Amino acid sequence: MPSLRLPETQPLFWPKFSSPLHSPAVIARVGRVLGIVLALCFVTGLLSHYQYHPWHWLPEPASPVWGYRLSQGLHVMTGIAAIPLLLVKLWAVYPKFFEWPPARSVLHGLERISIAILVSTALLELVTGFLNILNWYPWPWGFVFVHYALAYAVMGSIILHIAVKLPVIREGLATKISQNAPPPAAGEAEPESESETAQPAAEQELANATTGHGLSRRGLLIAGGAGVGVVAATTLGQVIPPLEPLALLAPRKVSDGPLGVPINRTAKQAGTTKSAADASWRLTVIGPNPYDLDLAALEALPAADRHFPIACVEGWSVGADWRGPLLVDVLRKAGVDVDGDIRVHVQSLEREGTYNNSIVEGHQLPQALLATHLNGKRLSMDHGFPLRLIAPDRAGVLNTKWIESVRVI
Amino acid sequence: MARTQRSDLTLRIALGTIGFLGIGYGVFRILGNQSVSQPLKLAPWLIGAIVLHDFVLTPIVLSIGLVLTRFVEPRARRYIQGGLVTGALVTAIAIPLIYRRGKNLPGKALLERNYAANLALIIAMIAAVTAAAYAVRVMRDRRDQRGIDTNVRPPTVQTSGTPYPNETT
Repeated sequence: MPSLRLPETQPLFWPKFSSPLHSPAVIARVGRVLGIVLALCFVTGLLSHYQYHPWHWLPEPASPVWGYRLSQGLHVMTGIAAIPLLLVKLWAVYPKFFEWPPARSVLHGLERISIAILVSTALLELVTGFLNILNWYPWPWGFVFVHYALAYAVMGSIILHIAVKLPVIREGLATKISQNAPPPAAGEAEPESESETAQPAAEQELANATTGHGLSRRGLLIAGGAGVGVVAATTLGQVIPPLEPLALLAPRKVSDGPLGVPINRTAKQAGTTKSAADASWRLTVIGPNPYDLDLAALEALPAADRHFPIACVEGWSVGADWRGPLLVDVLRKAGVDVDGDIRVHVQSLEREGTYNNSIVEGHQLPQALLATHLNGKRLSMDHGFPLRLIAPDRAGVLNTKWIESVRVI
Repeated sequence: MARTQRSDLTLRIALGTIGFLGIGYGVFRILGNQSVSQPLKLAPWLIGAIVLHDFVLTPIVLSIGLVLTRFVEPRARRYIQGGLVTGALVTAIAIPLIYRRGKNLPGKALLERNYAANLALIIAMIAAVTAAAYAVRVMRDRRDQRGIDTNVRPPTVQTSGTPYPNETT
C-alpha cells in the first residue's frame, strides 16, 4: 500500500495560535460543564421520547403532575444553554483543527474523524433544536426522528471523546486556572517561590495566564459563564412564569396566550373550525354499551376541577385550572369496567396530523378530564372547543383537542 | 500510580465502546428510515455546520481578537474582550429570534417580543457592567501605585544603612 508522505513541518502559511486561553485548563473546565449540561439534555430528551412512545406495561405516571413540565423545561433550557457553552468550547479547541501532521497514525486519524462527528452533530442538533422551538423548519427531513437519532451520535461521540482525552482532561482540571505549566508533582516545591521579591507570585501567575496581559483564563471563564447565565436568565421565564418580566429572549410569552395558555395548533391549522363549531356535535363513547351525548348533557354531569399544567415539548409551560367531567365517569356509563386494565383511545375531529389522537392509560386515566372550561371560561375554539382532554404529567400535544370520540381498546 | 493507570485504561475502553455504539446506533437509525431522515440532504447540513463554524464564524472571532490585540492596550483589552465574549454569546441566541419575530399566528404567543430592542438593552447592560469593572480596575491600580510609592521607600532608606546620595547631601 503506498503511504501518503506529508512534510514533517507544517506548511508555510499555516495558522499559529499564541493565546494561552486555548489551554487544557480552560478546555477541560468548559468541557466538564458542557458535558454535564448535554447529559441532562440527553436524559430529559429520552424522558420526552418516552412520553410519546411508552411501553404498554410501563405507562407514563400521573404524579408529580408537573413531571413533564420539569423534565421538558430542563431539556429545552439545557439545550439553549449548551449553545453558548459549545461555542466557547469549540473556540478554545480551535487550534487543534490545525494540528500537524493531520493524522499521526491510523488511530489518531480515526479519533479526528470522531471529533468531526462530534462537532457537526452537536452543532446541528443544538441549532435545529433551537429553531424547532421557534417553529422554524428550514430543512427537508423529519425533525423529531432526526433529532432523536442524532442525539445518540452526539452523546456517543462525547463519551468516546472523554475516553480518548481522559488523561488530558485530568491534567487540565488539575491545573490551576491561573497557572501556565502543569501542576508540579507531589513533594516538589513550588517553583520560584519566595526568592523573587521583585514580582510577587500572584502577579507572576497572572502574567503567565494572560495573552500579553489581555483577557486571562479566569476572565474567559467569567465572561463565557456570564454569557450562558444571561441567556438562561432571559429565557427561563417561559418555563417559570414569575420570571417572565426577565424573559427578554424567551420565544414564548406564555401570559399572552388566550385564556392565559398559548396555543400550539390552532383550529384553523387543524382544519376543525367548522366541525367543532357544528351545533350537532356529539361525543361518541365506545364501550360495551356505546352511546353519545351532546355538550349540554356533558355539562349536566358532575364536573371536576383540576389544576394541571400544559407543558409543551417546545419547553414552555404554564399551570391552568380545568373543569369538566372525569373521563372515567363518561366511560362507566358505556358499561366500561374502569378499574380494570384498560387503555382509552381519544380521537379528535382533526382529520390529519400525527397528534389527532392519543391514548390514556395507567395512573393518568382516573385523573383525566374531558375539559369544557379553562381558567374559568368556556374553551375557545383554538383551545379545543367543545371538548378536550387534559391529564397530569402529560406532554401538551397528547392532551387531544376537539374530541370526537373516546373508545376503550 | 500504575493501578490508577490500569483502571483508567479499563474505564477508557468501556467508555470508548459505549461511545462507539452510541454513534453507531444514531447512524443505524438515520439509515434505517431514509424517507424520513433524508440522509443525502442531511449530510450537506452536517458538513455545512463544520464549514460555517470552522471557516466562517471562528475566523471572524479570531480576527476581532487580533485587531484588539494590536490596537488596544492590555488593561483595557481584557475588559473589552470579556464584554465581547458575553455579548457575542447572547447575540448568537438572539439573532434567530429577531429574524423570525412576528412570523407566527397570534394565539401561539410565539416570538412576539421586540427581540432587537431587548438585545440592545442586554448589550447596553453588559457594556455598563464591563465599563464599571474597568473603572474599578483603573482606580485600584492607581491606589496600588500610590501604596507602593508611600510604603516601599521608608524601609529601603532604613535597612540599607547607606542613604540615597541625594538625601545625604
